[in-house]
Amino acid sequence: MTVHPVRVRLVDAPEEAGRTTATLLASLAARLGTLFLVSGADAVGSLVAGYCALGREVGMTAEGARLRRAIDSGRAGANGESIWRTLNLDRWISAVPPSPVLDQFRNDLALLLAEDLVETLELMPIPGEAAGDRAPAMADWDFSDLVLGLWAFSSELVAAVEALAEPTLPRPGDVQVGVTEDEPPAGELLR
Amino acid sequence: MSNEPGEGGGTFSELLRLQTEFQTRLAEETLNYLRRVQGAAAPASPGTVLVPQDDDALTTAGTVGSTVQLQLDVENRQRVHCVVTPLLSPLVNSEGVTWFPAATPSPSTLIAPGQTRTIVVAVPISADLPPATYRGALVLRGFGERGVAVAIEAKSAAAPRTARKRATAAAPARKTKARARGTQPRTPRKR
Repeated sequence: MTVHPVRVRLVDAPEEAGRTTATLLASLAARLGTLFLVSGADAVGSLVAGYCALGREVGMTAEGARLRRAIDSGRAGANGESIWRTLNLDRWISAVPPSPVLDQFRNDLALLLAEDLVETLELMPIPGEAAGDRAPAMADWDFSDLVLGLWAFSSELVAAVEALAEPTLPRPGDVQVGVTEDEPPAGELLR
Repeated sequence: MSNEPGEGGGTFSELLRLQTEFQTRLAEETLNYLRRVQGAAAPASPGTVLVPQDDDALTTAGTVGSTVQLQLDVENRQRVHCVVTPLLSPLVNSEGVTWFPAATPSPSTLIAPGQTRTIVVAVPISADLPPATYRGALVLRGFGERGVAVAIEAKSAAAPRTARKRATAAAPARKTKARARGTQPRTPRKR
């Protein structure tokens, strides 16, 4: 049975500059610039914490909850949690501000499809904004949060790459006839 | 203060313990504060907010064992492309039964600026699900906690059969009545 669809709109978050090619480009440049100011542990920890935050969000959905239950009740979950606690990964990751990995990925993807990217690149450097109170909150993360976050992120990555390739994707089973190059000129002077 | 060496050492060790605890706590809180500052100073990643156009809920009904569909029209009002991934939350009925629907598929969809796309989520109703109305939400991954309210009424599959049996049982009665009606004119009326 099908019902009448409900309509929703996707808009810019209030009190933000909004998603434009310029703001997305500024955000990307600022992220790259920050890499030179923080340690490797901070950068990696922030990314891992970002995956954990995504996993925590996805774990509240039906599909995520099913996956979480399955992982937690299996050997992988028990072993992963042991490694997580024993090697103090929990203390490290929980003490680092999480990166909004999904927003960053979607913004970078949107840049690849922007029609005015070349013109906007000429305006660089564009000053970026600080996250301020919009920064994701730190929390105590579990091993299953990380696993779920990686699952959610990678499934979106796969779908996004396929969507990017879709307009120009050759049909499956397409045959391309190779073109053989002409025989190179032969002669004593060319030897 | 006592001159006993044991008690004096105890006081000193207690002071040392308190001082160490204070220093440890101070170091932890300072580190926590610095992490928060680091998070607030991190580059902002412009995000997206989901705004339902009306307060309508996605409502549908189906018999247990069947598959129902939920349709969502998503309009991208931002100036760049957007990726949406629909996910269903666990659904709960009034008696506290929680249903984790295996919605298939929930693909990520790329929506161009100004474009509206219809997202269809197929929800198979488990055969062992107690008939009731289950309520939850359809959320779009990464767009915060806001979603569209969902209500799925799972009907008993046995109901139509019972109705058919009742209909079959009731048919002779109607027929009898019809016959009675049909024979009525033939019967000579007593005046």
